[in-house]
Amino acid sequence: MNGLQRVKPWKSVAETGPKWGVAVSPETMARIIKEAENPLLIIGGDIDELDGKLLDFVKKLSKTKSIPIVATAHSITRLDDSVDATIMGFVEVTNVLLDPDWGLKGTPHDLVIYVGIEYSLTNMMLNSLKNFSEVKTASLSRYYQPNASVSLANLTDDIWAESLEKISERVV
Amino acid sequence: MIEEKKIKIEKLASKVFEAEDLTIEIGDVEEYWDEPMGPTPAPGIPDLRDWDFRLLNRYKPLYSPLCDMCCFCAYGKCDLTKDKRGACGINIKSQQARVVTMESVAGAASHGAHARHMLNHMIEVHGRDLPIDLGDGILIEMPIYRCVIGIKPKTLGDLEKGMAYAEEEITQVLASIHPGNEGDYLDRESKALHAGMIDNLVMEIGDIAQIIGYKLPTSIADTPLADIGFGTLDRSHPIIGFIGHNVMPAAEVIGYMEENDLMDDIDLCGICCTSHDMQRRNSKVKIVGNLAKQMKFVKSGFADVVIIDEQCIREDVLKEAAQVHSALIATNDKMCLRLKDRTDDPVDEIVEDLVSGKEVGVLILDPVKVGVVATRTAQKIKPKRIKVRGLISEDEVIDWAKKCTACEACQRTCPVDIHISDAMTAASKGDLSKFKRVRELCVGCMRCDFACGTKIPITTVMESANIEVLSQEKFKIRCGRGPIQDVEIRGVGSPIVFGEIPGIVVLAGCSNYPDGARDVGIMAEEFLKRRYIVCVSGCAAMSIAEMTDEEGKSLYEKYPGDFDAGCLVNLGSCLTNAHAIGAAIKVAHIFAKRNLRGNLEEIADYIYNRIGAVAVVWGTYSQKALAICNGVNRFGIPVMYGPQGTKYRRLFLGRRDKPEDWQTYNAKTGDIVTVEPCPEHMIYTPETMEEAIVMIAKLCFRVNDTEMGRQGKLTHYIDLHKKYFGRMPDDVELYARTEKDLPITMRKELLKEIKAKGWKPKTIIDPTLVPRLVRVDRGVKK
Repeated sequence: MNGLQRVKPWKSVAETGPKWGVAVSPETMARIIKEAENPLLIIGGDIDELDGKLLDFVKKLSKTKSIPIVATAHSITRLDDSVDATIMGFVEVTNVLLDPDWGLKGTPHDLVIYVGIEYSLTNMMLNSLKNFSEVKTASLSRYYQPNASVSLANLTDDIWAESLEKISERVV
Repeated sequence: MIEEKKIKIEKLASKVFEAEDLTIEIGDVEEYWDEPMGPTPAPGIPDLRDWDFRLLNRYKPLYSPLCDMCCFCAYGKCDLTKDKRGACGINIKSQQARVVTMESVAGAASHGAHARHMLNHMIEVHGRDLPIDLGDGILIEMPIYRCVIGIKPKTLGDLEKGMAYAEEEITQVLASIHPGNEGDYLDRESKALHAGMIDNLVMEIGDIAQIIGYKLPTSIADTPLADIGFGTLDRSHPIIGFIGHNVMPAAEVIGYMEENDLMDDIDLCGICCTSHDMQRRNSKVKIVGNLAKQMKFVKSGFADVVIIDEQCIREDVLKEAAQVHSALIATNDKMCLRLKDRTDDPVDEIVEDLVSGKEVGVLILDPVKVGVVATRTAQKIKPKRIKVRGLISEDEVIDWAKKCTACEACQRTCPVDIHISDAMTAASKGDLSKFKRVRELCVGCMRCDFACGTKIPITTVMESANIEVLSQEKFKIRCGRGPIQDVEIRGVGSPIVFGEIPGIVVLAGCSNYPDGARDVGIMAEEFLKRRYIVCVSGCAAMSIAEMTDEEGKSLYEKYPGDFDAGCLVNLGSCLTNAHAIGAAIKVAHIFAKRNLRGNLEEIADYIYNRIGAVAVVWGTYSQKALAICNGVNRFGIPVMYGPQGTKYRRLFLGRRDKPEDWQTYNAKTGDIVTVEPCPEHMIYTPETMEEAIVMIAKLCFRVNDTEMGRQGKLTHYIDLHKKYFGRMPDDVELYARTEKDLPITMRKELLKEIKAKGWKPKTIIDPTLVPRLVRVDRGVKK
C-alpha cells in the first residue's frame, strides 16, 4: 500500500476540512508505535469487534509495549487485572489530552492511539486534538480517520485482522 | 394588566387647580408584589455575564468541530484549521462558539415564534384579561417568567411584555453572530447561554398560553393513559395525522369533531409534540410516535389527511404525502412549501380540490378553517383511498433485496451506522427478520434511500418487512400534565435538597438515538427503581412508552405520574421542558424561601449547589434541544447528551484533577474552600447507555448534600458502577466529605481504601459561587 494515496473517509461526516492525516500500512504503523516513547492507548465500547481478535490485539499490544490503556464506556469489563487500564469517558480523556502537561502517569504522551470507539465519535475527538493540541494521534480502526495524524486505510474485516497481527508482531 | 396611556389637556381650570398644556402619562400598571426586585429583571446580554463566566471558568468548553472551515461570508470560505484565522480575524474556537450561538438562538426563535403565535391567537380569542389560572395546586404560575422578567403575570396580556423582551434579546444575540460582532469564544458562549435562557422563558409562555386558552388539564398528576403506536390506528376509519409542534390547528380539528360528535368516527393521530398536546386536549387522540417515525408514517399511506404545522417537519413531506395520495394541509407561515394560500377560499372548494386530487396540498393559515376542511376532506377522501398502499408486499421486499449489491453506501451514510446490507442479503434469501433490528435502530432520516446506487427504496422496504411489528405497536402513555404543582414541591423540596431523594432525572430530547429507543426506557426504569424522580417530555416520553414488560405494560402503567420519588412524570410536549426548570426554581423559592423576582443568579446558584437534577438528552438533533440545554445550564443544571451530541460541537467539562477549579465560597464564613467536583461536568457525552447511567448518578451529587443524602447517592453510584463496569469507582475519596458520607454496608472497607489514598475528612459548607451571597461581611469583592 502507498501511504501517500488520498484515501476517502468511510463517512463523509469525517471530512471536516482540507487537512487530512496520512493513511499508512500496518508496517509503518507498527514502526510509529514502536518509536513512541510514551504512547497511550484508548479503547472503547466496540472493543468486541472481530470476534474477540481486536481485544486480544489490544491486550497483547499493551503488554508487549507496556502501553497504558484508557478504557472508555464499559470496555473495562473486557480487561483483567493483568492489563494496566484506567476508566475514563472518551470525551474526558480527550479533554485532558488538550492539556500539554497532562499524562496518565504524569508524563505527557507523544502518541495517542484510538481503537474500538464508534467511527463518528472517534472522528470528533481526533478533530479536537488536531485543532487544539500538539498531540500526535493514530487510529487503528478498520476505517480511515482523516483527523488522525496517521490511520489505517479502509479495510475489510479480514485485512484488518491481518493488519493488527502484523502490527503486534512488529511493534516489539 | 399592563396599559400605557397618554392624556393631553390643553386647559384645565378648577377651584383649586389650573393648568395649560397638561400631559398625563400612565405607564405600566402592575399588581402589587411585595417581593423585592432582584438585581437582574429582564436581563440584557451583559447582565448575567459574570454568572456565566463563573460556570464557564469551571467547565471549560471542549470543542469538536464538524467543520474546520467557515463559509459564512463572501470572503470565504476560510480554512480555520488549528491556528489559522479567517478573513474577519475569527479563529476556530470562536467559530465553534459562534455556531453554537447560532443554533441556540435558532432554537430560541423557534420556540419564541411558536409562543408568539399562541399568545396572539389566545388574546384574539379570549382577550388580554383572561386570567392565568392553573388551578388550586399551582399558585406560582410561571416561575421562569417571575425569575427572569421580575413580573408576576396575572393575565394573558401580562405575557406580552415578556414576549417583547424575549424577541428583543433574540435579535440582539442573533446580531452577535454577524462578522465583526464579538471576538471572544467565552463571550460568545455567554450569549449562547443567554439565548438558552430566553428559550426557556418563551417555552413557559407558550405552554401557559395554550393551557389557559384551550383549558388543558392542569393541577393534576394522575392524567389519563392514552394510546401510542402504529397498531392503535383504526384503518377502517378516516385518519387525520398531524406532524409538528404547534397545537393550534389540531385543537380546532378536535373542537370541530367534538361539536359534531365525530371523535369515534375519525382517527386523530400525530407525530411529535403536537400529538402530546392533542392528547392533553382530548385523551382519545393517538400518538403514532416521535420524530423517527415521521417518514415511516407518511410513507405508510395510513393518513388520509396529513396536517403539518411547524418545527421538525421533513422538507420533503409534501412529496412523500403526494406519493401515497394523502391530502396535505400546511397551517403555519414557517412551513408554506410553496402551496397556494387558500385561507380565504370557501371550505367546499378547498375540500373538493383536495379530494379530487387537483391539489396535492394547500396552505390554510386560519386554524378554525383547518378544523372544518381537514375533517370533511378526510371523510370524503377515505373511500377513494381504500386501495392505496404505501407499503409493499413480502415478495416485493424480496425482489428489491435481490437488487442489493452490498456496496455498504447505505451504512456509510447512516448516522447510526446500521448494517442495512446484512438485512438486505438475508432478505434476498427470504429471511426478513433482520429488518426488525434495523427498524429499531433507524432514526428515520432516509439518507440511505438517496445513497443507494441501485435506487432501492430502503425505508419502504424496511417498513414493509415489519408489517407484523407495526400492527403490534400498541402501547400506553400517560397524557402530558404540564407544570408541577406547588404542593408537590412542598412534599419533595426538603428530600431533594438534602439528598434523600437521590436526584431528578429529566429525560428529554429528540429521537436520534445511538442504539435504538429502548435505551431511554432502560435508563428511566433504572432510576425509577432507585426512587429518583424521573420526568420525561417530547420524543423521549414517547420512546419510553414503547418499552413493555412481560405483561405488556409500559412504565407509565407501572409508575404513578406524581412529582415524587419513584414516579414517572410525563410533562408533555417540548414546551413543557420549561416546567422541569420551573420545578427547580420552585424548590428554591418555596422550600428555601429565596426571592425569585429578577434574581436569576441567586436562584441558579442555589439550584447548582443544592438540587441534584440532571437533564438527559439522549437523542440529539434539533437547535431547540441545544437551546433548552443552554438555558438549563444557565440555571445551574448539568446536561448529558447522547453520543450524537458531540455533533453539537461543544461540551462543558470539568477537571476533577484540578482542585483550583473547584474553589467555592462558604456562604456562612466567606472562606474560599476547595470542594469536591460536583457536578463534575455541565454538558457531558457518554459513549454508551451503560456509561450514561453511571454518570447520571454521579451528576446528581451536590456540594450541599447532607451526610445521609450523600450516602444514598454514593450508594447508587457505587452500585451502578459495579453493575455496568464490574468494579468499584476509583474516585470515591473525592466525594466522601466525612465518614458518614460512605454507604453503611461498605463503610469499613471503603474507609480503609480511601485513607490509603491520603483521604482526610472535610467540612461540609454552605456553598455559593457568588460573592455577594456570602452572608458575613469579610470584604469579599464581586
